[in-house]
Amino acid sequence: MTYISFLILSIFVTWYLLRPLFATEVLGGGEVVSDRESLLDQKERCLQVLKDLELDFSLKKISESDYTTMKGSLQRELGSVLSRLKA
Amino acid sequence: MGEFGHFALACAWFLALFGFIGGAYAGLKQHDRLFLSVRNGTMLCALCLLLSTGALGYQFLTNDYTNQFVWQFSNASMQAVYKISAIWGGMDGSMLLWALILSGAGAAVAYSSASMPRSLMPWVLSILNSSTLFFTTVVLYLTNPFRYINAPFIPPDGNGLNPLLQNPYMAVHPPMLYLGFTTYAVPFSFCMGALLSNNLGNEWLRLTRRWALVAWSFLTFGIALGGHWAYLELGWGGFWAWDPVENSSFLPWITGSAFLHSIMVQERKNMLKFWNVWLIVLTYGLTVFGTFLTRSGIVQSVHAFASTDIGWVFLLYLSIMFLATAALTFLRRNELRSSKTIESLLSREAAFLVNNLLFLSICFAVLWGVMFPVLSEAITGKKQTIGIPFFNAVNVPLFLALIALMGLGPMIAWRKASTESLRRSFLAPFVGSFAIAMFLLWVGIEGFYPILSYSLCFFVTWTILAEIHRGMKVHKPAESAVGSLVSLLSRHRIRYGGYLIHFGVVVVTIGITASMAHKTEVEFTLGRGETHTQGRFNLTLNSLEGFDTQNYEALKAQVAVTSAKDKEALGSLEPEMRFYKKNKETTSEVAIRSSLREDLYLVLAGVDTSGERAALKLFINPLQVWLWFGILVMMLGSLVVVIPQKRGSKV
Repeated sequence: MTYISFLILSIFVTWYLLRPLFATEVLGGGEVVSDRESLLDQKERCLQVLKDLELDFSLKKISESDYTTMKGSLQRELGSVLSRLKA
Repeated sequence: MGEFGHFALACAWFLALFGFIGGAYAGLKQHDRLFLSVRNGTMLCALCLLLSTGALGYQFLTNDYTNQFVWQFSNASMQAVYKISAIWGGMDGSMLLWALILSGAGAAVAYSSASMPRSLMPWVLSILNSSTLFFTTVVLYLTNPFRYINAPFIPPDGNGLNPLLQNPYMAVHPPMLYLGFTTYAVPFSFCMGALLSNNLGNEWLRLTRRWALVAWSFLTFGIALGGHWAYLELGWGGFWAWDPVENSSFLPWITGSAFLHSIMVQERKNMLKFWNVWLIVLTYGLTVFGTFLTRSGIVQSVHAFASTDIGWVFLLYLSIMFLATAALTFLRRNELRSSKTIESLLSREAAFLVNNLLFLSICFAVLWGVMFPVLSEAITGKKQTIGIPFFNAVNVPLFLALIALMGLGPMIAWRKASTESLRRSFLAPFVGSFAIAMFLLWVGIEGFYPILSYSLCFFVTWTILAEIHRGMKVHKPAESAVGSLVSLLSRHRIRYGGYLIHFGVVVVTIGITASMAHKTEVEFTLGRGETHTQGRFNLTLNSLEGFDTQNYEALKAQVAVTSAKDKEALGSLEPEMRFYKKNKETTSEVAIRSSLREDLYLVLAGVDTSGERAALKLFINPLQVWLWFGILVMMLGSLVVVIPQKRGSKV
């Protein structure tokens, strides 16, 4: 029984570990590292930072020049993310 | 089952080795298929360690005394829950649990790596696997919990777990601490991955901010559970004694707290990059250092594991970690250089810097206190210890300065604050706090630090409420107060979740200050029917009885509590003394009557030779519950920040 359990574990570990290396099909579905997911996360983060920045500016916690610079930089980043998402 | 657990452990070791080397190769060559294989391997490693730990748990539950570790820390009369918690009651099992939780964090990162940058993730998984490899190596070769018992026969029963550890808190406290410790491996690995892949923008910080907060939350909760366990179980009326083992869990909490604050400066101002790298490396390093302290036997503590010779392995690992970080930060020094500097001391970034310096000062003071006996013995040959007064004398003012900064920091503008804005923000709370201090003096509260502490707590609470009020005024001012508040809080959840954590810290501070500064401690003896009056309370001994269970013999005092003023019944307290038969150890089970105002904490310290009079020790700890309640508020705040926001929000 012990040796059978060793064997089952070994076979499963080897199969699951080596599967991506010897897969004949083009990697797809859940295995492909999704750029889209990453971009969507990045978009959310940009939006959140923009919201915080606007609140800070309304509360006079950030100077106008800093606000303009940071907002511009964030909007450029967001624009780039959105265009990559559309592509 | 032991063989299967051992085999699964060996598989985990192999998988961690594969993940470490394969991840680095996949990072160097940007090899997609190998990366996916490493990703699978990282998840498999966690599965193998889960199977291994499960096998050990099965051996405990089935009283399999062929296993040396099971025999040493369990016996047949123990409840199932304590048989499971005995896994981490000894060093061998605790190291296995550590490796399991670490690999679990690695598996979670591997699972979610699909949506993370490709250039970074192979390196991240490689570093995470290197940590798992280190711990599985220790478990497999130095502290293997699957060793056969070294005896010519199988013992009929085991030694049993230390009675102090047979407490529900001990079933939860160590796993919580380990969750905190090991989760710090994630931001550490992202940081090292960013250094290795030269991806030193703010991406790694954004990806790990939540992990850093999760680690901090687990560590906070774990430390609080440990404090609560000490309060309930050790019978000295306190919750924190600056013990080396307590300190070893506190050290990474301090630097982890500093990290959570300083990353905001990098995210907002692109400053402190170098600092943040070192801060997270230091934090993870301190979690490993704490493990070294508790397992090497170099410090004496009631909580420490038995002295072993594995300390040098941890020192070697730490040395490699710090040398590698030093080399990498030197290599990437240009990328880590900040283009901006702090323009004014009256700015948010300066406040964050002071906050970090205060945290690090506390860290240094605690570390100094922990290591002083070791250093003094190495230098002078005589071991000199540092006690609670040193830690309190150094840390209380530093913590109070941090509390003050908690009120000041969030109100100060980034870059440069004008005198006018400072006056507008701080005049009212400052005057209010001063008035509170005067009021406390007038009602007879004594001591500089307690009064300062309460005033600062008032100050911080005021600034938090003022901040919310100002936010409501500028955010949808046309809406009703409730509508505006809900909208503001949901739109800026991370910010206001942070304020909730700060408020929790305020409540904790009030609890700690009151319970330490205004504590009452008395010892007295009572015969049956006799009454002792202490403050607002009468305590009458109704009975003193012995009883026997399978695991221990006990003596229980039944003490009625009534109001000294109008004799109203307030309940009863039933402290016990227990003698554990197997371990031949005596413990004290305290009885506590908790209310928002104070804890009545009663200890049965002994009985006279006739068995008719009980020696009792009474502590009255004001506002003690506030400490535990404050921790819950902090946890709630962490939850608010950690829960991901729904996608699709609009600006």
